[in-house]
Amino acid sequence: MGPLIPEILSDQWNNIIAILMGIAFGFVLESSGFSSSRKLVGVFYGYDFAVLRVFFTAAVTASIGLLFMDYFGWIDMSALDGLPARVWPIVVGGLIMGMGFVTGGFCPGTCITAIGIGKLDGYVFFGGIILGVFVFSEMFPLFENFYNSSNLGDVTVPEFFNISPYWFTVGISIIAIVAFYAVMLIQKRIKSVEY
Amino acid sequence: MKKRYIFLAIVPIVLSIVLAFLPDKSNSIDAKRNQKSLKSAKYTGVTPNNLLLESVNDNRFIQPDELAKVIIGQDPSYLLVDLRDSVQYGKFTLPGAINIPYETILTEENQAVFDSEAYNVVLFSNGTIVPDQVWMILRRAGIKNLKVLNGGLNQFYQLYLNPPKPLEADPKEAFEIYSFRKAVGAHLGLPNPDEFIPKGGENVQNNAIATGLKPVVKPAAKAAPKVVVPKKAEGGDEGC
Amino acid sequence: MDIKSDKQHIYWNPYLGGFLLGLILIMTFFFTGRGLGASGAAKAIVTQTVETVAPTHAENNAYYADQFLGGKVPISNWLVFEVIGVLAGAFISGSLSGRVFFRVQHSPKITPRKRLWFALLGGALFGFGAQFAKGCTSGAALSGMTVLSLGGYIAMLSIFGGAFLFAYFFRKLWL
Repeated sequence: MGPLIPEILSDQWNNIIAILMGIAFGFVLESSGFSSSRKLVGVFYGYDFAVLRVFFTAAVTASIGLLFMDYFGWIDMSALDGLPARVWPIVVGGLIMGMGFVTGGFCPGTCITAIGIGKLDGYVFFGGIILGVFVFSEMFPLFENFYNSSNLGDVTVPEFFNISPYWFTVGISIIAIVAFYAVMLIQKRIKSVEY
Repeated sequence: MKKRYIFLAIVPIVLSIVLAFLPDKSNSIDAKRNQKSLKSAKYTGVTPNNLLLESVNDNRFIQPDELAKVIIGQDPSYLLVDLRDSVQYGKFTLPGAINIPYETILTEENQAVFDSEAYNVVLFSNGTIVPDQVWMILRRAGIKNLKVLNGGLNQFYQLYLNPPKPLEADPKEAFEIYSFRKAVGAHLGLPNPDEFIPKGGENVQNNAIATGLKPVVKPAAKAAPKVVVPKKAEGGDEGC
Repeated sequence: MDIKSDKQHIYWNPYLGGFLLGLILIMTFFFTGRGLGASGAAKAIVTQTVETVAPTHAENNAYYADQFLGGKVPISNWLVFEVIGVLAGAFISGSLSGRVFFRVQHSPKITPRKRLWFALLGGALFGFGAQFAKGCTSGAALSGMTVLSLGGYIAMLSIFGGAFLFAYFFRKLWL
């Protein structure tokens, strides 16, 4: 059955659905407090673990949900857009993004929510993103070879390690629960920061 | 720690364990992943350009007479692969042929057949179209030493069931080929129309229908419904 | 809209937020076959701007030119529409809780100006890094993890790993 676009629904719905999903996304993010940069970086300093909780819960919920739907034939999981595993570019990009995260206190998605509620640091962060993209694009010829290197293709983790995707999800769920528990213990010990 | 959280924490773990034990995952991502990994594992690949060049060249085709020599000589370096479904394979096939229905040609166990390059593989089916398609697919995947039986079983049996009698004026080779073909027919256990069946060739055609072979020539009344049957049911290969 | 209220700092339970986010992800994948994202919208804005201002330069640059392949128009990128939605959704949620007003949020130990400079720096780093990884935390990490993609997990690990790595050096900004 799914993904509904492009086979069941026409392509024109794509943008409408984008807006609707975006509204829901922004609403949930903002209501969970992700428009606050101090809340977001809390996970790296140990005083607020909302990011870990929301992130992991969302990933686990969505994975289990999609796997069930795939089993019932409602969606074809292999037809979904994954991220091609260009190992070294992703690692390098991730490290740079990590540094950006702790300096700026936002990630692009949460920065948009911050803009939505009027936080000027969010506006500036978005301006910074534009700047970063522009600098990269101009410097692209230097990185072009590296950018396309070490591409393992659109492979999933269970495929790569040759295990069943369902047991992998069991493993991730267990890791998530353990992480939540550990984080709860840590939060009790670290002095909380008022923000 | 609140009881509610403990309960909620168990939910995803239980759900994913349930997922792992669900039966019949043939349609799911796991099954598709296995097929996908097969494709990428074996993909030493022939590029489309090279494949085009190869396909224009006819030397992948093996003629019925050549194949007959291989069968009679019991040449061990040849592997005959019957691409039809198991029902047709069970009714009649070439001596020593193995059965790989063409839809399953890319599964791991069937691919293992092609692993050693020691064999010359001859792909055949009722006609030439299916084996040629399979040739394309396997060639694309980089499998070597493939041949396609020209004319398929239809032409093969035409030739050996009822070899065309040479005319008086034909050269000696024609007669030699004729006797060779009759010998092949006898070797394969095909009834010789002249000796065993009073009405000769015509009835043999009808018998061929009864054994599940699809004659290329005008089908008798019995065969008419089968011509209409869609491809999957009868393996009806329109013999090129 | 200068409404500050007492429920300013009341946020949802993160597990609830995560669960709802998971449902949103499922729906997005079900409807469109792709996940959420954000950095792609910035990329589209930059590309479209450069193309408007200096078209020949855009053609000559492989990175820009790639986005116009097949007659695609970057600014009508799915992500741009999604980001517009995110703005709207955040605004609605913020208004309901009285969080909509202009300010700079910063740790009391630094000045707003310093905060803004670091926000700019952080944004630049993030935008730069997001191009290598072809996504950000929502697009690459979150959506990638949902479909069990190897790239998604690598992205998540390196983003959070990198952040933990550099957190010590920037602690004065937050603590």
